[in-house]
Amino acid sequence: MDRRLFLKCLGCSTAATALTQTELIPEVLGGIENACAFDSAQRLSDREAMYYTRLEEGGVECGICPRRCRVTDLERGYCGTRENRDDKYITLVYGLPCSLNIDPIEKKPLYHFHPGSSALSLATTGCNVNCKFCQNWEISQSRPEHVDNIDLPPEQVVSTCENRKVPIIAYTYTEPVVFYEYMYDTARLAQQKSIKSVMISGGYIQTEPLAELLPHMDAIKIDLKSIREAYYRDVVRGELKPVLDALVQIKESGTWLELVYLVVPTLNDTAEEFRELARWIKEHLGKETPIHFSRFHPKYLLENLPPTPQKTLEMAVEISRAEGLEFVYLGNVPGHRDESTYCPGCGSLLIERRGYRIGQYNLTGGRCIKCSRKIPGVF
Amino acid sequence: MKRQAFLLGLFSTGAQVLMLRELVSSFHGDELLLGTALFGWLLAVAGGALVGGGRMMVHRVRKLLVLASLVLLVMIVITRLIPVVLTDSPGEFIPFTTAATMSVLLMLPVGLFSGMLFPAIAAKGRSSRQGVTQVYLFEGLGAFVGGLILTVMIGTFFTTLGMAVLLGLTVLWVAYRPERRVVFVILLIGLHGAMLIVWNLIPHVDQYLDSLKYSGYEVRLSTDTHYGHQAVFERDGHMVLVSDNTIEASSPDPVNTQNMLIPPLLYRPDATRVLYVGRSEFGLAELAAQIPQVEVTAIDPRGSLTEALKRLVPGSDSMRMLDEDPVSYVSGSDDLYDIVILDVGLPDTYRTSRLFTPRYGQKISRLLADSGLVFFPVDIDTERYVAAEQADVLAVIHNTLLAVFDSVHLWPGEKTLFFASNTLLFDLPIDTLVGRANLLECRKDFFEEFFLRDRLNDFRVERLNQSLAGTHEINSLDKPVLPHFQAICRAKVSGGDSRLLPWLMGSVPWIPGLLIGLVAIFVTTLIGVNRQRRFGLFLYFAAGFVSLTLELISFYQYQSLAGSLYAELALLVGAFMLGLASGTYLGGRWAFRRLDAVSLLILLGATTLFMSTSLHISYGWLPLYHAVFQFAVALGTGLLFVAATRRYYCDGGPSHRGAGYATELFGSACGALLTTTVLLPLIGMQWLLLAVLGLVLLALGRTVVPLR
Repeated sequence: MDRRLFLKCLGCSTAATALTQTELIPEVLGGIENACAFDSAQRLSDREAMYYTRLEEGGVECGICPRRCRVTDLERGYCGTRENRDDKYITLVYGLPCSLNIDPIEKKPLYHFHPGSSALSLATTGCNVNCKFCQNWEISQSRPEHVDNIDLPPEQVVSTCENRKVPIIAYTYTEPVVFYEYMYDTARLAQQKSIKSVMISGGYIQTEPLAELLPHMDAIKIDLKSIREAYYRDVVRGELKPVLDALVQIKESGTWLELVYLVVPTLNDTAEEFRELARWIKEHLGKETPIHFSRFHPKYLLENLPPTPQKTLEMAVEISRAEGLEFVYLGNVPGHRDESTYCPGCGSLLIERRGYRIGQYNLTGGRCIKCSRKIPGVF
Repeated sequence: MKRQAFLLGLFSTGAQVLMLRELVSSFHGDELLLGTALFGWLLAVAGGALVGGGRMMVHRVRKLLVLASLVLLVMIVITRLIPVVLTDSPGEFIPFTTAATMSVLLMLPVGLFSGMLFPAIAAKGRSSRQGVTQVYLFEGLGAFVGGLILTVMIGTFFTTLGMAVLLGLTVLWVAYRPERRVVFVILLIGLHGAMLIVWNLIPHVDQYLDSLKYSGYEVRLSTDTHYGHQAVFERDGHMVLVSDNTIEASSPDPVNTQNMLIPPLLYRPDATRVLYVGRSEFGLAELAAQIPQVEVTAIDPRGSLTEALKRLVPGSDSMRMLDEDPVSYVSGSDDLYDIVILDVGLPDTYRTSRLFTPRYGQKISRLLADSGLVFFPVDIDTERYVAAEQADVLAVIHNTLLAVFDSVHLWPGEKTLFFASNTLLFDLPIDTLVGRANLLECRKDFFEEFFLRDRLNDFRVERLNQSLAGTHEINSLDKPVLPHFQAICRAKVSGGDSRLLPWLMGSVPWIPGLLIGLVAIFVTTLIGVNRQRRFGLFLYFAAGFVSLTLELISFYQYQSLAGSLYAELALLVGAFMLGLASGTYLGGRWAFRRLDAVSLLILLGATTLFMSTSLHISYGWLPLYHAVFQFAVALGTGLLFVAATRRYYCDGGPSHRGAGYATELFGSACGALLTTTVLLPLIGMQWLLLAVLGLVLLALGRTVVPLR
């Protein structure tokens, strides 16, 4: 056989083999299809965003959160949900939640706001920080076109609540600040129908949008992730000061406020930090502001950092009480004594909790039935 | 020369195994990382073989060997501490792209030394051909001895670090074997003294290194088993078992513990016999003890860890515990159970995904008593949302279970729970589940009525069920797609990974490119003046690629079918290395002209037989079957190496004695990087073996067809 013939035979036989094995071809094409599916465009919103300014040099500056992203044409802000289209800043997630559930209000957690009620909870994709421990990173760190969104405009959110007899809407899971317009419109509409709105947020928001939102919010829970700037910089990838400012603003507005502090082992769990935190709360928000110390579970970038020991949580509760805070709770430990609310006046049990279940309820008109002390909250 | 070549084989295998083990442990590596690290090693050795062999090196082989041993020790310590450098907090995720790059870089120094030594030792031979063949033969024998010793000793007697020290001492001893009897005796005593020091000192060093990695935690236990590195940490009374830098269990962790035992009991409240695959010491034993009628048998293959944990966690031995691999136990046991719980976390490696195959499912269903059920709690959070990538993993598990069981049921939650049975057990109203939960006598904080109703509300259940329509794939031994989908799922965490892994594992346009490249290389062996020598290089490449691919496939299949039984795996390692040495020896003595054709025919026959019979061998014959297969493949490879050497180092040929060896290693590196890591889950084992056959046939065609 000469070399030319050998090469010909080789080429022909290879082609013939490939053609006969047709079952591989769909597999190959299927693989390509799967890969492309990740980038397939979904219908996104093109509603104009609130709070942005057009820049003289071109582009826009977002005014929703303290990042103040400067965004050029066809680019997006840090949150991935707002896009500049020819110097018109638009929100891509308006009316497009990617997660919808009905949760007990205790799950948020909000312990002094209509205990025992449930909330229609919704979230879109996106977040304006990137916490290493995020429990919802699958959606908070995704782009809206990469997830399955539900077409649910504000009117339908409200009508869903009415149909299901759910008294509260919770803007939660990811960071509601990034879907501000959707939240704002829904809350206004809900208010007209006497449905309450609660925001579960990291509090990384500018003063002006927060001021406009507050009259339509019935309660806010803020995740104060640490009292140290370094932690916010290294672990949260945000800033502490704007969050503290937002907390004071919320408190001054009279909207009901509760705090959550996620205790992450070795990162924000020292006695000094707990003490510093309690002192700041007492001084700036008042000793009656409830705080929940929550247990960390390994997730996202900290998937191999062990869960928070219960003793650490108990230490945080103890220190906060010693510093004078009146309503200190321990989260994610059902059956623990510190899940329940006690009267700061007479020490009697006011609201007994076990997980999300309300047991004894010893309040009348928001007052302790024993000593008649007014208990802060919306009951 | 022979002694140095033997020592090189011993050191090279030892270094490779120890570094791979350490890298997988530090980065919690799956097969993808293992393949990349092995690729890095083989490439480094190939590079070393190409640059080595200079006159200076030929006279300093002993010093180089000792230096390489020291470098190995340093690299092991660096590898162990690298997560501390790369991350800000203990347990922080390291993206695959970073881990893979670091693996290749960390393999480089020791690999280069190992490679450089080959031509340096081969240069001592009379001729290129004789030198290369002899070094390959004695290196194979050294690797055989080294492989056996390491497989048996790591995790049984020594930790990885201890083994590295011992390897260094052995190299020092053999390389500088004294001639005078007095010196010999003194050094022998010294060696044993050093071993005693290692024995007593290294555990403390291991413990210290762990304390650096998990700063803020007290190290209560630091040990190596056959399966990897285990450490138990404590902080504020909370105990955590970390295996290869991954949390395996923690206590007290009531959410996790209750999720393991209570849900299956709600479907079988009358259950008495429960089989639990996982670590029961961290709360499960305590919880099970609260339910009087339930008898739990726990199985885990790490007996030494079980013994150590008995001292650390009091009361953890209140249940029957078996030191067994879950595959081998299920294959050989006649016990019957009402509930089988498989707590393996995430099916992200072949070791865990083998428990999610129809074949394993069939074996488990044999152990189920009437109305028995199997329960798989999986670490995928479906509480609020099901991401598309998570949906694929869930759908594969669901499809796989449906292939075996008549009824499969799911619960959403922070852990997604799969129930499977051949009886219709799961069609129960929530009120019944609540009632049954109330009757349980154990702690059930997370299964009180309000938790159950919240967890199983319409929104969550419907969303989860809808997400199962994503893919129709089944995870099987032939095509283990679960680790592949899980890798894509995890890739989202990092920007680099999310660009690389979906392209590498989610699409296959690069596969035709690979084939074209291979054919193009082959075509160069048909044309030009030096085509015979180039064909020699092609044969080297084929020897490396085919042998490593078949060796890895055999290991994969053996572990999947028979379990990770290390004593038997040592037999396979031994069989392969012995085959390699025998092939090289026979090839060297056999003056047959058609040696290349004979060797390729052996590979062809072994692969064809393996394709048609490997899945039909009964459990008891598996070790012998795979040992014979590995021996045959290695025998063919050894013969092929000699045949390639004859072609490449023909009279008047090149004098560089590392080129052929480097090409063979390059072939092995390609096999390590592509075959069981990426191609196996993408195209399946049958196609992969067909590809190997294609390569062998191509080479065989070229050897038997005379070209003018």
